[in-house]
Amino acid sequence: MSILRLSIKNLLLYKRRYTVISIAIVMAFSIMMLTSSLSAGAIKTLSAKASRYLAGHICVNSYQAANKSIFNSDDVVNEIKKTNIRYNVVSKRSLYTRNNAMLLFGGEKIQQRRLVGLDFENELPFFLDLEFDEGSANSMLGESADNGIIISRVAAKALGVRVGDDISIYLTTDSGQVNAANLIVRGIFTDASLFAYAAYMDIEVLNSLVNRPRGSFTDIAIYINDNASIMSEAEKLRLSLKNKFNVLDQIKTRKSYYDLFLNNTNPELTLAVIPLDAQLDQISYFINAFWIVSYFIIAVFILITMVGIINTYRVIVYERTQEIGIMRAMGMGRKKVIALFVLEAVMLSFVSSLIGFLFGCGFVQCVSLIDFSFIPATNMVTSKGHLSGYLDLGIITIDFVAMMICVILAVLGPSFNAAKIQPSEAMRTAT
Amino acid sequence: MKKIAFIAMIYLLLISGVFAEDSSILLKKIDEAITFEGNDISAEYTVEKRDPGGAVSTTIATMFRRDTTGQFLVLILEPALDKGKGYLKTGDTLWLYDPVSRAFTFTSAKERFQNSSFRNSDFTKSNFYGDYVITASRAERLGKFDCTVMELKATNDNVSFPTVKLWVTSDNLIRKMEDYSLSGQHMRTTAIPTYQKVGSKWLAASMVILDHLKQKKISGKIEYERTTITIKKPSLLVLPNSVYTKEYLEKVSR
Repeated sequence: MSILRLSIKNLLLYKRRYTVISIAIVMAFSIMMLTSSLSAGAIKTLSAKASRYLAGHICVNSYQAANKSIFNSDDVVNEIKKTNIRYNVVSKRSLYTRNNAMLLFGGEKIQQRRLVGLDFENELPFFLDLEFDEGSANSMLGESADNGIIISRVAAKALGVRVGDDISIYLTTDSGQVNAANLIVRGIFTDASLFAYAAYMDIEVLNSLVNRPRGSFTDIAIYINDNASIMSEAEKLRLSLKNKFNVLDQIKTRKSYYDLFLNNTNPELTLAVIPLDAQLDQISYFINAFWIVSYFIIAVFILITMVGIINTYRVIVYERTQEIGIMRAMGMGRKKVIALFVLEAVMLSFVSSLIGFLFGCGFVQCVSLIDFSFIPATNMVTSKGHLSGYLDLGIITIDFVAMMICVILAVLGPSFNAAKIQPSEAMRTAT
Repeated sequence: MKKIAFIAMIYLLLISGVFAEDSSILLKKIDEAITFEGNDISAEYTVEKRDPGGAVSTTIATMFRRDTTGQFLVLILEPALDKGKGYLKTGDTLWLYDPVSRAFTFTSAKERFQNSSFRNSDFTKSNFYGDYVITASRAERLGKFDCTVMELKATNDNVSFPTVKLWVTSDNLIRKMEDYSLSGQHMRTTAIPTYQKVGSKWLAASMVILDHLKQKKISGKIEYERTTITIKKPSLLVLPNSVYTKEYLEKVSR
């Protein structure tokens, strides 16, 4: 009888004993699933919010010497579209980041850190999952875009405005002259994180307010496919653009970005390809802490499970001493004894992990029903206060393999002990 | 017929040239009436800002200005929280000094002074002649004053307001000013009801600025943010060059 058939037979024969181990593996794997899925979901939510705020997963700017310049033609955009990067959308944006922009209504005012002029038709898919208290991103399509603005709940509360209200916007043009306009609030979005300190309007509306030429833009927002790596796609893009334009060196952190462009002395147009990960490096400590805590939790659960498996397997090996003795007496080698127990553990781990995966999915659904908005720091990683799970195939595979390796490691000790049992000793113990 | 049309065209060209020359001279006269070339002018400014329907905040500052070189120094005396803060303009650069951090930061003449409707550029010498052209004018009565109302358009990007309307009396003094944004939105109204004679020139004794962006309806009536500026203790005392330096500002701030 082959080892495989024997191990299956033993699993079924000693199912009561193995159920205990199975339950431990199911619980451990479901916790692993819950933790890694929610962590991946949180990071994905953060990435989505940040990409909306910071001009896509990859942002392309232009500089002349150390000054940010404006794009006046579509050459760079067309070149980006010809590259082989895995993008969903390439969109133009006009940004206003001087800290003096103000929204005014009914005697109240609020400063806006960032005014974003964008093409709503192009970027609509990325605004559809932006939660709104009132109105929607769809309200910024068509003629409504000509005098519309989307503001945050924070701004709306400070001003006391609702959708449909006329607000005044005050800012200065690129040359410093004062300008103001009346815009109609088309939507109020709920994001209360640090990405909320922005207002969104049509790109040409902002261009006219800051006296930039029609059709000009300051940033190119590139949204890449979900399963593509931002850093590697950014580097691919940078190397492609380098064939035709001056491009700054690879940007990995915000500091390197500032160093590169401040030290840029080239008076000709120079592009900067900025991946989202570089722009978020200031909150990467937060992201890293998130992952460290997640993996710490996973590690603790695995350790507890391993200890439980080791102890249970010791009992199993003791209980099966006679059986082991008979198998050894019938000519089964030590290696095959080890292989038998390890194979039993592997199959048990496989089946239990699958069940654990299903339970984990259930737990994720339950946790995502909880409203975490009472914890202020969570608004960066939650949608309307709720965490969302994300099933990353890569992470699930790693969890699976990690569980299997840990189970095998736990089982190895007792298996080696089982293999050392002498047939004569085993018989003596039985009697 | 053609001859008449040609003569009419030449006449119109001459008239517009004369008008252009007249209007630029007018702007020059307006500037000259309130500019202290060859002198140092100092005065105490009391800037009282009243939000629509409520809070009042007062800032008292001393200003030293040398119009010949385009320099000025403004030192804040009150409120206690901002005491020692100062603004120094040398050349085209305007510095803001913070006595707490003892640091100078670059600021802009177009920024608001102490968050009021009075701007840093309002401390600088008048330069309508260099910065604007008259695009239209008409006569109008403003209270007890017979004024010429002039519509000005900026000739450069250095000014805060691209379009300005001035109500000027026959003595070349501005009685009222309306500032408009690039989009034509009415941003603020400045009324200068009284002037005081300082040497051979004039200095506003009081000014009232209404900020048209910051308005609120109170008891059915629109109220604007109002900034009242009172200018007292004017002096033409000659000041040493060291007054218009960072070191001096640091020293007096202590």
